[in-house]
Amino acid sequence: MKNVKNADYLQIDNQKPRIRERGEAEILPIGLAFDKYDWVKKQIKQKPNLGYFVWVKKSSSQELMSCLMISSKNQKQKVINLMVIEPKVKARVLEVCQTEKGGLKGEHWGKSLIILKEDSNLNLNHNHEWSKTDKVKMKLAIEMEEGASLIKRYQCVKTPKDLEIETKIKIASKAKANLKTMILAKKGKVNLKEFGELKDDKAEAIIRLRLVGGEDSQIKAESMMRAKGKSVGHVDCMGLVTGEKARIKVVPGLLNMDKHSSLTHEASVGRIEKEKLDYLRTRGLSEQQAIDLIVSGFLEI
Amino acid sequence: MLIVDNLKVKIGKKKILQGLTLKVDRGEVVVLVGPNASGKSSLAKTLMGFEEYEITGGEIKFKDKLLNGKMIEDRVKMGMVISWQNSPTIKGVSLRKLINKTAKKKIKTEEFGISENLLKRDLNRGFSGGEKKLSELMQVVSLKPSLVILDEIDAGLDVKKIKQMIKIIKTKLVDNGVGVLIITHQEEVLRLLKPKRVLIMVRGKIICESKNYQKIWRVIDKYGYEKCKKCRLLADR
Repeated sequence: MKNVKNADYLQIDNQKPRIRERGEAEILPIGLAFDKYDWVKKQIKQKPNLGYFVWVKKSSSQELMSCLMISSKNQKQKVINLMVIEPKVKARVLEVCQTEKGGLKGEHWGKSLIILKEDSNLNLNHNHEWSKTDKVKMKLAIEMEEGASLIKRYQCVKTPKDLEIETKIKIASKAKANLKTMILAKKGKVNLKEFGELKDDKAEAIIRLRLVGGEDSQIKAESMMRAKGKSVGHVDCMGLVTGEKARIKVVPGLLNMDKHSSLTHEASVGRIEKEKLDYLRTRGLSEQQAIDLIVSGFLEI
Repeated sequence: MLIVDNLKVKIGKKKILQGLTLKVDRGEVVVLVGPNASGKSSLAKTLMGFEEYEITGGEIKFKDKLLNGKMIEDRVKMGMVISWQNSPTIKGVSLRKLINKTAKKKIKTEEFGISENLLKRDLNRGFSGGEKKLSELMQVVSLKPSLVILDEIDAGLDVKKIKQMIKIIKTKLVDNGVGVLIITHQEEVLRLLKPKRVLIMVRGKIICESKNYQKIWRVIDKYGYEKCKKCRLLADR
């Protein structure tokens, strides 16, 4: 994981954020943006206390990084975030949400809105790293205007005690969205809900999930895609159960509202095949090393 | 180096190997032939320690150490390595990643006819028959073995590919003192490899052994393994 000191927006617990100025983007505490811009008020009804406002106005190859961190015991970090990418602008963003160390019993509650304006392009990596005493709840809404393009990669290989994520994405005409979610849960509960709406002609979306359930973890994932116009969508949910008491439930759903649109899905939840373990063991790896290698490959998408 | 004495093996209730004895010395090439379902691959997997093969009698010694009960990876660490007949696909793990993780010595991939493209691809995913076998052979060599078990490394290959394979076996293994136990159904392999000994396996036993591979193959070619089954020289008759 990248050093948080490099973050352009760093929020530790509920302290005042540290912000680094970036030429291509305006970065503010969300409360300040609420007071400054009337259009922000239209997006967010009540003035929030914590969270970031990132308004990317020019393209840049340099990654913009935000970090929301829990550093003290029993912290409840509640953030509202807004990110806007201007038309035809290309942006790369890394979001890190994490606990500084284990056993802090932190709570992280996040609500984010991302707006991709016409023909904009966003490559977003979102990494979570928690401890088994934390609780995390996140709601994300993404609005993609005509011709916008999004690659979003969410990864959590250190899950909290409870992880709830709800993602809603609206995709306008000619916009393309590629959402990848990779979760490796050793313990605890994970509840994922993803909803994609292909709003118009030539909208395209792929939702891919890779879920690994270890020990006694419980994972539930619902991925719903709805299509209108001549749009194309695909939902791909794969689960791998490695723990004796682990459970994974995946529910892919498709709703097609136009005879010209096409929606497909594939889903599977399986265990690691013994043959594959044996194969890697005949290359000298121990059983655990073989499992780790297969899991790392499974999470590669 | 490898001594198998009166080995009896079962899977569930089914008896697979029924008192099998063989040995392979350092740098020696031994070919194992026999009809389908005679237990050749089961022997290979038992030697490697696959858990489903339960040893009910006899012993396997490798480098003077008893292998019975040892785990697969421990046998590999001791220098015993196998190439798979049907190797599984492993998604997200490239051939390069696996080699980097497991190899005990540097390998020049081009010497095995392995392309850069193949190294990048998921292990065995969409590999042709020849690519799979070359990949197996490269992995085996990279583990710096003392003894290799090659389970039908020639299966499904054309003559040109078999020649390439045998050349690699000779130069990378046999010439370096590695013992080779090779399971095959093809005369071409015998002819090119010129093994010191050929063993015939039928119904879980070695029923014949000869230093003259040409003679053995002439009999098999003309009469099939039926002749071997009825042979008066059978050791246990």
